[in-house]
Amino acid sequence: MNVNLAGLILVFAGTASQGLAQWADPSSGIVFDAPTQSIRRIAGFPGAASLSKPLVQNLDWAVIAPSGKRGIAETQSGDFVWLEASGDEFSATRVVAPGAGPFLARWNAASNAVRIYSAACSCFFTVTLHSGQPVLTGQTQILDTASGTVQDFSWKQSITLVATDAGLYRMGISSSQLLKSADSGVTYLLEESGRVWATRGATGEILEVVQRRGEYGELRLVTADPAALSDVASIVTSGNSILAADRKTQRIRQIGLTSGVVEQSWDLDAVPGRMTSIGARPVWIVHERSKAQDPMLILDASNAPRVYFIPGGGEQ
Amino acid sequence: MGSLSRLLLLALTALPFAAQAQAPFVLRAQQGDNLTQVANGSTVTFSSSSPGTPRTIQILVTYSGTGSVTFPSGISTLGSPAFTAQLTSGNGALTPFQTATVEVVYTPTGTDSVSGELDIGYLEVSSSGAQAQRGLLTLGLSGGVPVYSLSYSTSSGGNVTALAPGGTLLFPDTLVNTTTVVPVSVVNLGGSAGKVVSVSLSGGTFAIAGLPALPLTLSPAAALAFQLTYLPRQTGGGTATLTIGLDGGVTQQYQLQGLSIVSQVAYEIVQTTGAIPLPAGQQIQFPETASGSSSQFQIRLTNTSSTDFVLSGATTTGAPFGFTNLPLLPATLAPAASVTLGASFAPLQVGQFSGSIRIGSDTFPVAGTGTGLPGYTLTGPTQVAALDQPAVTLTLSQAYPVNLTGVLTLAVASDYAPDPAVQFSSGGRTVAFTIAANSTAAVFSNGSSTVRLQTGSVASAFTLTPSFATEQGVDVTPASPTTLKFAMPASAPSLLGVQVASQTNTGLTLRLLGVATTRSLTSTTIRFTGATGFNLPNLNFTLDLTGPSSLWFNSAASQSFGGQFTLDIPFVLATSDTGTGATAPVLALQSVSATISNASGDSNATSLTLR
Repeated sequence: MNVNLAGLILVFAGTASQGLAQWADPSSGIVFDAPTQSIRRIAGFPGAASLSKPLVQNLDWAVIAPSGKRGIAETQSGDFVWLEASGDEFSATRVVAPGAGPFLARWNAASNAVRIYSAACSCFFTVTLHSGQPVLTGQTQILDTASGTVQDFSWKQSITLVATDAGLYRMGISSSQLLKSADSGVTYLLEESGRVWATRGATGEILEVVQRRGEYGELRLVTADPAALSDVASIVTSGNSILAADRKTQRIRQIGLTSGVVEQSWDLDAVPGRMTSIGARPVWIVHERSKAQDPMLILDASNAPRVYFIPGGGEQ
Repeated sequence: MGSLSRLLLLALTALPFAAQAQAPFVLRAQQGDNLTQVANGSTVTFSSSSPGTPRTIQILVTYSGTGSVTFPSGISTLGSPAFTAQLTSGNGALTPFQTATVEVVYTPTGTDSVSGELDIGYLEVSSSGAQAQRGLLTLGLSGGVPVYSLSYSTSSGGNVTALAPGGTLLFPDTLVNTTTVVPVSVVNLGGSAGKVVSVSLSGGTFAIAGLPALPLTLSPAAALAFQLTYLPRQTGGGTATLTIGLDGGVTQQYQLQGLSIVSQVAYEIVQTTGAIPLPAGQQIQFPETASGSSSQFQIRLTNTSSTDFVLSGATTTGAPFGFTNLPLLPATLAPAASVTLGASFAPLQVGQFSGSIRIGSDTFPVAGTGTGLPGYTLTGPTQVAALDQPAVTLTLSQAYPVNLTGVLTLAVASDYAPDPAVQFSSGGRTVAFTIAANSTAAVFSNGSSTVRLQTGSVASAFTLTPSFATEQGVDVTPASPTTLKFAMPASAPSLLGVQVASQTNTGLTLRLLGVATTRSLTSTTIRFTGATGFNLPNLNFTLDLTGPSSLWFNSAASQSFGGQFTLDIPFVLATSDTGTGATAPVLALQSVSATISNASGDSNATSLTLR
């Protein structure tokens, strides 16, 4: 671009003393806290953070959107609700879900739709925000050919990849296609920016589900380092690397996407689980606590990746 | 009873008198110097001191009639051949008031009682000589010997042992300067009364007690009871002879034998390597014992005497000393039997202790030293920065013998407002730990030997102080516990990131995320870089934050966040080119870089690509 705008000036919109510069509460994101069955804010920045008082209580299950401003939840009374945040205030809209929990949920990157798997109905459904209201769409029954216990799934638009103990399936709206048989061993799937990553739980291998001519079908090995990765719980991408949480070694491993080698590691004080994004910054929960006095562990990759704890105990 | 029956009884009892009244004699029995009138038809009792020893009784027969009398048929005895009789005087005719003497001899052949009859036939002639009348005097004869049996009891159960003359009475082993009392009984088991004339002893360590006045006649089945005592003054054996004098000059002798000992039991300290003798009265020195823990000795008592030993009690003096496994007392130990007691020393404080243990009649002085917690090391940072989460460990310099519990307390001092984010990973500013017995590493409530804490975001001085207690609650914290001190110095602020909080075609709001350990900011400098092809006259901005930051850091909202802040700064792009299809002014910005400052200096620069 080589354009000159006539008379372009940049100005500070006010003086700091006039208060146009706004101070706000530091925050690292929103989380569902299982021990207190509530949604809570991580107040403060990693390293000096604490869990806030519960913002939404009496929840059996919830998954917060990457934006940190929405969530999907099941209340203790069995209602399935869409949550919208305004500051620390949440409003809930009931959604009639086709099945009951336990659920697996994956938000899209825009945080305006969430794909959910219900084990009770063996079906997938999507809740999408339309005109400010959550709408149930895209209900797909698990077909017979996609039988088996669902381990994980990823989705983008109308395509859902499902890893079951019977194999890796590609599911459309009304069809199911076996991509890889059960010996593929895929237990975890991650879709980011149009690429799908997978892990083999038994071997710790990290793979990419490669598209050929717009169709998924091939598994490309990204890394296989049994000494470093033998029981991968989950992965996330950060820049040109993958961050993998290994249960056996209780470490986060940073693996170069192109080199496939471990570049850096961080020890954890607890066994990692599914890494869940908790806000706009590249911060993930790596260990969800099971008891209120336990700390929560988060991985902050906003600068040099680093693992922090959020102190346990009561509300701060 | 009716009147007729009473009359009949009176008639029956009067018959002997009537018979005697018909015999004109007065009968008397003389035994030594004793003279006793006996009635015709009555029984004369003979008592010999022993079989084979004759006893003689003279029967004096005095004629009380008015004529004369002779004994033509002589004297005869019936029944037991142990009785013999003969007329020794008055063999001719007796005139009134003359006396004939019949000597009856009883010679027992055994210890059984015997009986017989003495018959004296007579012929009385009246004074006129006109009438003569025969008659018979009859006396029953009864003979027997006393049989003495000595018996004693030496056991608490009262078992009685008979002892034959010449036998030995064995006293129970007796502690020096204590008295053993043995009850003794001499019983007359014979059929005739006997007489104990004397009881005497030879031998200084034995004595007689409770002896009644002698001589004492013992009727058949009667007993003479007294006690023999043994009071040794030194260890060793003791003997004596007990002599019992009986009537007839007969004596019976018994040997007394005793053993004096220092103790009736032997003590040993039982260890895994064996048993060590423990003389009574010897001091028991317990090993140095960590306060809150305990040391024990197993003391074995063995009854080394030949009789039962009764352990009546076991007590201690001195608070830290006690017993751990006392049997139910009193306990009786048979000879050679043992019982083991656990003596313990459980100091609750540091220092030296003394006391005593008393087992039965034996006392043992005891002593022990209570030691304190060994040294320990707290490892952790010496200096920290904002948002640090350092690890801390706590290690004893040597193992402690009992399980310990403790609390590690984090204290914070700051010239600025306190930062609530300063906490252990488990929450709060205290964390519990345990140190297993015989180990050194503290294990914190997270199950790990390390615990992390977050230092917050405000310049502060930190002090970690542990406290220790045993599981029983004994505080073993040193008087001046070792602490770990570290500090977060005041420093220039730190920018964690710069973000676009919001953006339109003509403006954007930058969000600065940062930390100021002094909870103060002076200014921020924002430097934009124009996109290629754009010419912006003013790309650098320095904003004074002294006042605004003071408002923030003094606000109630900021108190929860220490030195952390989020600052949104709006910018507007204005252009005079408003024609259709004009490029959005915000696209003229390529990137932005920011720093922020306080009195300690400038922060790191943080940049963000805008397009």
